[in-house]
Amino acid sequence: MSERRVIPETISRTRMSMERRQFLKGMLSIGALEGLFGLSGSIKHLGAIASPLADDKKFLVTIALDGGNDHLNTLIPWDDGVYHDKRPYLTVPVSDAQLVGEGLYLHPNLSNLKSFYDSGNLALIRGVGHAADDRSHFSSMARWMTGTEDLATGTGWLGRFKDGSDLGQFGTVAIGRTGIPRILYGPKSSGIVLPPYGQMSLFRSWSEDGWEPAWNALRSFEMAQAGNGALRSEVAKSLRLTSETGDLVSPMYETEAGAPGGFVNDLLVAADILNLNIGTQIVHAGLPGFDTHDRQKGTHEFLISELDIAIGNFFANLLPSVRENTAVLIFSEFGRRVSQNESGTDHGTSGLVMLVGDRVRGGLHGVQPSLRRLDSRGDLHHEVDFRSVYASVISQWLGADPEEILGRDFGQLLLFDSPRAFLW
Amino acid sequence: MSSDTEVTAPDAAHLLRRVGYGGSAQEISGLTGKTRRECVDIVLGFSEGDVVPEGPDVGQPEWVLNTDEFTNVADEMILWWIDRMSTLPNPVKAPSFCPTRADHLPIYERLAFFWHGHFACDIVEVSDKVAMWDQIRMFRRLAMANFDSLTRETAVHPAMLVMLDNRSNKVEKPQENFSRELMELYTCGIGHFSESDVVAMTRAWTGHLTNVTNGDDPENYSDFAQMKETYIYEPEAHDHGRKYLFGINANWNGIAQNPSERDAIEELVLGAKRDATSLRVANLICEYFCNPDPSSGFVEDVSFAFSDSGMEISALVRAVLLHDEFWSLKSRWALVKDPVDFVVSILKHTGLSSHEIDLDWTRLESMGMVPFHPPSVAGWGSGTDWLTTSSMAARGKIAHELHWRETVEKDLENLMDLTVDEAVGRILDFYGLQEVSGGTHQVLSDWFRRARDNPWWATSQARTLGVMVPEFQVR
Repeated sequence: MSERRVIPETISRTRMSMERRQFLKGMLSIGALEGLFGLSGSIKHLGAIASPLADDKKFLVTIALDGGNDHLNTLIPWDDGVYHDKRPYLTVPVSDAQLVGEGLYLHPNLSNLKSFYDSGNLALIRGVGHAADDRSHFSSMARWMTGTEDLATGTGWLGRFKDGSDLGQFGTVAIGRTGIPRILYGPKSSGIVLPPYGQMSLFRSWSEDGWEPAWNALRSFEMAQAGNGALRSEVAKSLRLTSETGDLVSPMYETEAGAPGGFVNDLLVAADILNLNIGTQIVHAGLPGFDTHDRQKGTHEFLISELDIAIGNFFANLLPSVRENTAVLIFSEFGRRVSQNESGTDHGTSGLVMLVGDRVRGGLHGVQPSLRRLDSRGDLHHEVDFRSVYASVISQWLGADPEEILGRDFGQLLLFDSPRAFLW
Repeated sequence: MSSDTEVTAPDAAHLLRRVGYGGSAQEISGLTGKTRRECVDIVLGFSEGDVVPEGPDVGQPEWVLNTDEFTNVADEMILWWIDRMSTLPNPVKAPSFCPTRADHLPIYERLAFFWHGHFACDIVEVSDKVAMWDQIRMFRRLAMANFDSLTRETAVHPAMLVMLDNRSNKVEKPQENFSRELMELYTCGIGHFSESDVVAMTRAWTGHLTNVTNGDDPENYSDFAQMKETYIYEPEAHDHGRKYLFGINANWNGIAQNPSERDAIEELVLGAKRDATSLRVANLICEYFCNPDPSSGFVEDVSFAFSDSGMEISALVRAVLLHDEFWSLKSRWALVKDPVDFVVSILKHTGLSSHEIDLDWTRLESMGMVPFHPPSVAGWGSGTDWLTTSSMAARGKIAHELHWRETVEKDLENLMDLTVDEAVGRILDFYGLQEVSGGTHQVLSDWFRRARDNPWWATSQARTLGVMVPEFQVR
């Protein structure tokens, strides 16, 4: 890769520094791990915890749109008069350029995703939901994260996938600050959380001269059984993981100054960690703020745009060999109510799931929820169980057995070209 | 074991880590040898049977009103609070008489922060720093009041009316955001209301709105910073029809305006949902003050005390602090310090101010916790949520920068002149780590043997490593 490619909207802010280009170039020409070890001869032990994946591995990035993304203002049923009747203030004007078929239009701010759609690489899975439909952020998101209807389930569907696979410590990575997202939480494993670019991180100072004894100490507490209280081993383990992660990723953060800000930064970290090829197959990131309520109009437009720019930058910065093996799954805990109230919408039901990638079978999937046949609360009915989407990804992309991870057969949609396995 | 058990020094240190932000050697020895009950009376500032005083008032400083600098003022509000947490001394003597307004005790900051996370409002969403300052001021004042009063005042505080949009909840266009979270997050919790209760509760809260005024110049609507929202009840915007809430067909109102109306908050806190609300809030308080997995017997005991008192928060807090599980090994060092706790601990032990460690919004955000800016309406996470590589690396960054910050009086210079044991002891004492594991001793000793060849590095790294040892991450 000669330099970071950027999409026009953010070109002035994402220009990579020379150091960053040099770093990535160096990494990729020597081979990721050798490159790393070249940077720091004393961390050879990391080979055991961070091995490159096989060439045919499929990468998956999941993005949770936190707060309830509005199905109807993301994939807009402009030609349906009911949409205009129910949302006099909230309709989003569209043009033929955004048409995806069946009288449906992608939000005008989703121009990158529209390009993916036009090239057959964006699947729009409509009317996806779960049976409970309780309109609670917390229980709904818990269902989406765990891949079950049972709120007592502690583990996430991708955490269970990881634990049943041969992935190592860096197999799943979350982008963020706190808390391993539940989607990655496995019975045996936890995961690594990497901070977005643009904010301070110890990782940047990791390779400073003279500090090795201190960083070594952080790694040693666990073995020495140091600490107090019931969480003793978890605290010491987190210090070790932080130290080891710092050794592996600090070069990524040393040149982060050119990062543009916002969610774009989160997905740039996702691209870089996949490019780095240190054993990461799954990355999760969250974009919060979709519980728009009264502030829907401007807020939703802004967030949708941020998502679109981030997705564009993400794919533009993947190495070709990584890009062709990467899919991005975008979901939210629920859609929003059909009718507006004062200037926004309340929590609703049926949601839109988007799947992007070079090998994705693009087009309209699922069933468009009717605006005329609503439930007792005035919400959309869903026709597609969220677990059938997961089952499709698990089987057709990750090559694993969906029943083992989801508990039973939920059917599948055909979401990929040349799927690895396809079990109806 | 009972309330009359004498507390040891480690017991006293435990109590001060939980009701405050840790104690000095002098404060710990001031409580050592007293009974648990005496210690609890001291840290709460009143005894059982006293009329519970109102929480302390911090007023509203002039600088909070500075309308030109939203961002800077928000930063200053955060730093002001963190500095307050790190400098308030712990009480070591019971007051000679019970005041009507409590002294400035650390317990009120702990509780105000807890209620801030419980009724989570975000200064970015609310866009009104004065309202946010005032809301935290109210949490301090009502920190140990009746839960009905706290919920009631919070519900109609401008910060909440804006945050969860009830300001636009009108009869012709109901807005569910607040009513749903009032039940799900603030009181009885999920499983104790149905979707039709959400509809009825929303109707009950119609008409509780805000009135926008414009400071000294009511005609000037161009200056956004001057706009101020205050609570107003507008009867014409309220749905006066009968509503079927919790199986009761009545003339419900969020806050009853006359005897013919039935009060929704009273029903949630003192009526049909009292047990569910009591159990839920008690559980959250137990997790916050004791351990991440309080036993059901413990929660039931203190929930009973809470409910039996008529939902007095002071009764709940007292019951928790006097319970054997609070003092048990299960609760000892069982809580991970959140980022604010971590920073406050550093400031306490170094004597530095938040400005002197360049603390700001970004640094707090990098650790995952910005006061006044919770990540969601459900507030912050807890426990192992703070143990991610990302959050821990950001702690490390603050720790790392301590190496070039001048401490005021105490310092870690001249470690080279000491033996390994003396040097490690000096570092641990400096950061108030009296109870540390053999493992930590060993790791620090090994580090010191490697680092001592370079005196400058040894001193620098001692400042950093001292706050990164496992014992410094828990409380």
